[in-house]
Parts: sequence; structure tokens; C-alpha cells
Amino acid sequence: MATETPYEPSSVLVVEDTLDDAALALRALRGCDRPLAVSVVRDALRARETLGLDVETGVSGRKAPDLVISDLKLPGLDGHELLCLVRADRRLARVPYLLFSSSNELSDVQRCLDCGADAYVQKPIGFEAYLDCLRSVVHWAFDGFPPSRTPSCVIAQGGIHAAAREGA
Amino acid sequence: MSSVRVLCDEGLRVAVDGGGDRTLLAITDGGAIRFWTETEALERIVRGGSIQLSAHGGDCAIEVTGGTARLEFALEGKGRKRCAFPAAELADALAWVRSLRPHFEGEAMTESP
Repeated sequence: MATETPYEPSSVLVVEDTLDDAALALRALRGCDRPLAVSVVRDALRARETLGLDVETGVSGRKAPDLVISDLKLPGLDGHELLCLVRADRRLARVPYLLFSSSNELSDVQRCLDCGADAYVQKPIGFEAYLDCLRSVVHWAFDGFPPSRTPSCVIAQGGIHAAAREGA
Repeated sequence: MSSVRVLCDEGLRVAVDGGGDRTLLAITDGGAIRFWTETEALERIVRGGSIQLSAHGGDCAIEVTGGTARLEFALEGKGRKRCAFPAAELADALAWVRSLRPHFEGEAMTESP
């Protein structure tokens, strides 16, 4: 008997230029034990193209992913700039967005939350702690379960739930 | 005429089916898992990139570099297995899927396990 994923599994976009960190995210997403289609891009320009925000080609109208996980420090356009572009696009404004960064500067955390990040994870982080955080964000984004707060996972006040309520 | 496109049949069997903007990747290694995904998501990696598809019971990852697609598949409780095939064959299979009428959820698939 074959197992079959749903016709439309939840889609996740991972934007990460560091191979080890991309592998960590993929491993953690496998650990979420739910049907997911996870695309990985290595920089924000490819992310813009994937999200349909590519001003060069004028691509738009693509289906929004169900969750974006992005590094903050990226070559070229950084994760904060990408987040602001996403939040400025009506189609993508409510997509749950998790930022992942080695910066522990409060100003970095705050400017990302101010721009609309739903959660911010500080590196370095052990696998179990990252998995706990990611599971919490995934359940929050896809199932509406309240997120848990951990020292290395900053959840935005309101965040995904507030966006959903505003859209109701 | 075959009703699926087979990309790999040595150890792992990797077959592509679907229709229109939805592609079904059926991977068999003793047990089988069928992963639905957007055709566009697979088309994007043909030019270089990677995707991971996960389900209850297993997962697969495909990475394309230098014209070669490398697939890694894991069925829960078993080890990970790998296979490789030309990215051009994946591109051809996706173009074929695009040419088929869309499937709908719950509709019987054409592949015999």
C-alpha cells in the first residue's frame, strides 16, 4: 500500500546561503512529520524570483508559499530587505515568516519584528531547540496552535494570529 | 504507451505522473510513497536548485547541479537510498505532465504499483 501526500501539500520556501544551516532547516522540517514541499534557494534574488517578486522579469501572481524561513544575513539583498518586500506585496503580506540569524543584536531582532516577521530564531542553536521552535511555528502557521516561547525563538506579539484576525 | 515517465529503476524506482500544474512523484523501495507537488516547483530546480518533499513515513530530496539530478529517498525505518538521472529527463517528464489534463484529488492514478 502506497502512502500518498495530499494533492496540495503545504509549501515552504527556505532562503539560506549556508549549506549546513539549510541542511538543519530541512532536517527539522522532516521532523515536523507532516506533508511538506520545501524549496531551497541560496539568495534573496532567487527568493524574489520564486516568490514572483522579480522586477526584472515582471513575474507575478505565483501561488504564495505557506511559510517562509529565511536567513537574515544573505549575499546581496539581505533577509530584512526581502522580508519588507514580501510584506509590501498584498499577495504575500500574510505569509508566515521565520527569520534565522546569528545576530543577537536586539536592534536586528526588533527591526525584523517591526517589518512583520512572525518569529526570529537566534543561531547558534542546537537541533532539538531548533526543531521545537520550528514545530511551534509550523503548528502556529498551519493549525492555529498558540506558539511556545523559548530563549532562542522570539515569537512576534500578535503575529500570524493577528494577521488572520485582521483578514477575517 | 507508458502511462508514467520512469526516471530511475535501479534499486529505487522513481516515476513521474500527474497532470497540468500538479506532479506526482512516485518512489518505490519495497514500500512506496507518492509525493504530490506543484509542477512549477520542480521546473524551477531543473535549472539548478533543490526541493525536499516530506510525508508521513518518508521523504525525498532532489538537487540539480551541472545537469544532473540527484535524488535521496528515505522510508521510515529504512536507510536512505540515492539515485541520479539527467536533469534533461526530469525536464522532459515535467513537460509531459504539463501536457496532460489535471488530476483531481481522490482520482485514481494510472500507475500500477
